Amino acid sequence: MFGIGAWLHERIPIRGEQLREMTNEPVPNHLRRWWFCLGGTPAYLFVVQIATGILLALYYESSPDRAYESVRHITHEVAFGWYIRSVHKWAATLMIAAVILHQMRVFFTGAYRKPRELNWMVGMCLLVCTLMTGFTGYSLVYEQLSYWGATVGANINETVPLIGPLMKRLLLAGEAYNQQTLPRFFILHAAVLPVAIVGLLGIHITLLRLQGVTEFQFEDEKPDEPRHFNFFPDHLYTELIVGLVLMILLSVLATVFPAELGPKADPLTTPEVIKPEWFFYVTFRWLKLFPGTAAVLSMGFILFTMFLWPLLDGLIRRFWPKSEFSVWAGIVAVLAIVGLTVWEGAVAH
Amino acid sequence: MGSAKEFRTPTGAGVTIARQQTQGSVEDFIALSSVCPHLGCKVHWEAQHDRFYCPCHNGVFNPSGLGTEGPPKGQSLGRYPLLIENGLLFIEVELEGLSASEVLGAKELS
Repeated sequence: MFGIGAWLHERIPIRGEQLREMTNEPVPNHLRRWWFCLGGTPAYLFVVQIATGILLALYYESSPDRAYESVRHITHEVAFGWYIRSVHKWAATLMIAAVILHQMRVFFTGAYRKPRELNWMVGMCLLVCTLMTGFTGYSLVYEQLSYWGATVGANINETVPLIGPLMKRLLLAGEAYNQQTLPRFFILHAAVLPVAIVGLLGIHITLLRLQGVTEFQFEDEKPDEPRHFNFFPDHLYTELIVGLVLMILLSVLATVFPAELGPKADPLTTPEVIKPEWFFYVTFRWLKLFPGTAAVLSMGFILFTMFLWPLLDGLIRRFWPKSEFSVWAGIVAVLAIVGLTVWEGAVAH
Repeated sequence: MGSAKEFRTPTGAGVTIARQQTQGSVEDFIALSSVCPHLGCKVHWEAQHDRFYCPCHNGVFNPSGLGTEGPPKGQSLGRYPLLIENGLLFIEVELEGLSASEVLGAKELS
């Protein structure tokens, strides 16, 4: 045993205490509350997506002629195909929900403020990548929603001044949906976006480690209590419990509400009732409320404002240090998101 | 009069032809693209409401193809030229992007 240890140490020259120092970063006490662990939740679900995604890719065929049939084959004929596909779908839903909740928590606790502005911006990039992965994901099934969602998505890009037509051509591999469109969506979904997410996640976690977690003190905490606990094993246990609960939840959701297969894409007919996945209800309703370019540019402006919010908030607080504008803006934004989502979900058109 | 028929061009584009008058000339008819000018979904004719409707974002067009409600308000559905020869109604459509055999096939069909 000693021989193997010495051999390994010679090749990986790291000592036990160095390893402990690396992993045992003191974690603030508030992270004992699970809702402060929502940042780890999408990361965990992302791993689930990679694992189930690889299994689905073994059988999926990304051509318009074969895609729908291959998804039907996965769902009805491949052993446990229905389960893997359902877990993939539900993990996507929970991942997006967790990203949104994590972002809301960070926003309302002001954890994006100096010196963590850049990490908020990296987080915004992660949010956009996650939403794009969701969008390209349901486009792959080649059911009616997949086809019309891709068409509408590409045409939304086209309304952007100057670069819009180029963005549309890049996305569709042509002026309209064609044989090359679906392979392009598949490459985006299964290669480009996941690699981007891994890279951004690396930066996100590195910045988190360098800056440390924002510290909060709660009223029920006693002043003489230690303010930190160890990452290993204490915090790891919390994350493991969250992971186990998520695994059970995913399995239950996948079994009780398995992923279904809608009618096959028909490029000649838009169905009478058509809606994207729930996380795009807000944008879908927004597009119904305002004319094309105005709707797209205003959405872009809102997204850009969110991206720059730590800097804008810093500017506001420099002039009005006691300002609670950020909280009120956040409340209005959350009410608008919830309101538009419920509105879109409640009506057929 | 007042009815609409759906046609498919050789490139696969949907065309709705409606008869709006009965004077016996080509002006009686209108041929409109079924592609919504908003974000590219397919509109369909709703005879009960005398309108074209786009289910994606609730776009409404009058029988002449002009957007009257929803995001495409003020925009129009694309219009195809029509002509009548020997009592037959012809729609002029682009054949760009089709192979030679598809164009010949289309001509034989027409």
